[in-house]
Amino acid sequence: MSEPDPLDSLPWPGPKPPSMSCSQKIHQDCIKDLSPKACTSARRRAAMTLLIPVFTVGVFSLLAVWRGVEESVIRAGLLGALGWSVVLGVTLLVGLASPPGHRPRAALRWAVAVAVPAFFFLFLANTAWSLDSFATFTDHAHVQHTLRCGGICFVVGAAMSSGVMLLWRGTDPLTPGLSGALLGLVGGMGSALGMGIFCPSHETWHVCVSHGVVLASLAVLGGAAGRRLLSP
Amino acid sequence: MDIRADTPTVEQLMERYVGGNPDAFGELYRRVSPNIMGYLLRLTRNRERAEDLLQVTFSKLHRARESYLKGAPVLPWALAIARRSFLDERRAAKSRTEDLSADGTLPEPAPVPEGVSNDVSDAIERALDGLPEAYREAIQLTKISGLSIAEASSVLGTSETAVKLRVHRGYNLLRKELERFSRTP
Repeated sequence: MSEPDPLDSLPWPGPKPPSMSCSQKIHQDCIKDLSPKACTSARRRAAMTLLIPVFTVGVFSLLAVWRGVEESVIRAGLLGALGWSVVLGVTLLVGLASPPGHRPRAALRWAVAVAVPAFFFLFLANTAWSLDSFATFTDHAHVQHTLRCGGICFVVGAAMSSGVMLLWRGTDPLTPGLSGALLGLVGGMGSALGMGIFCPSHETWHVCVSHGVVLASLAVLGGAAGRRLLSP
Repeated sequence: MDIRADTPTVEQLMERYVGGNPDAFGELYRRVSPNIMGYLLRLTRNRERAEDLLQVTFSKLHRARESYLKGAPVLPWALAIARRSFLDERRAAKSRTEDLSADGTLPEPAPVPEGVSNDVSDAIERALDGLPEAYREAIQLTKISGLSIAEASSVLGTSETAVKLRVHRGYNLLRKELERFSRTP
């Protein structure tokens, strides 16, 4: 049996009602323009959030077909995207699908925000088709290709992250940074999976730097942006 | 008949307020404002500043009402907004240069209320105001506002262990202060 808390027996000061004039001002401010607004659930927003990377992967797949990428490459990319969509769905379920205050512990959600990019990185490193030496990777043509590919991946991921961030704007005064990191992860993942189908290079260094690092950096940037955008 | 069964929760009131019901706001305000005011008073130790911040908090809550997620506990949500408003205000005040009074002199610090009361509750009030901010906040949220350790940790943006530690350390300081009070004739 746990010991009684000695603090509970103290006669703590009671609540402090604000003055009449302050209350009147607040009432006036908060009741004017009180147009009805829709109160959506966190689950619904999480489902809408998942649709954005799924849509992006679909667009990249169509572009890959249009570009003439081999069918087997597109099929393998789509299979990988399907698996990671499940991971993304679970991430959203754990991190954002319940309202703030009812979400799992912050430590667990931080663990998810760190583990998902780490496993994605491992996945990219293990499923790449070839491994060039570091010297080959750093030659001019390879660097240019990696920068171009990483740039597209970053821009698309940042646009997606901004979109989902707007969807969740002002919803989390409790852990806005953490929720922002998870939303950055959603954008980064959608764009990295899409680029995985569209990009012609499947070399280890290339995919890790231009797809994997972009995902991690968008999660970090999402954390910083979330602090400003997700807090009311 | 259980009267409480008909009484809406603050979360239900918040949903009605988002839906455009002004009466729901009135009831919501009546229920949550004393807690938020108490918290802000504990942070600022100044009634005027606390009331200004209460207005800022409700103004933010009003603007952000559309982003309220169904079922989210309202009190921690509002207290987190209040805390952020306090920190923003303090940051802004620090970056401003010291204000001079009308005659060009530096303003006097706010007077500390005098007069010794024998009331234990008043003694706790004074002892609480003398605690370091981190301990004061943790005790206010958990013991006076009635939040759980988990809710208080999310309002304060720290771990549950840190909140427990702050409450414990604050309590030790409070006890010393109250012992001194009890020895005063």
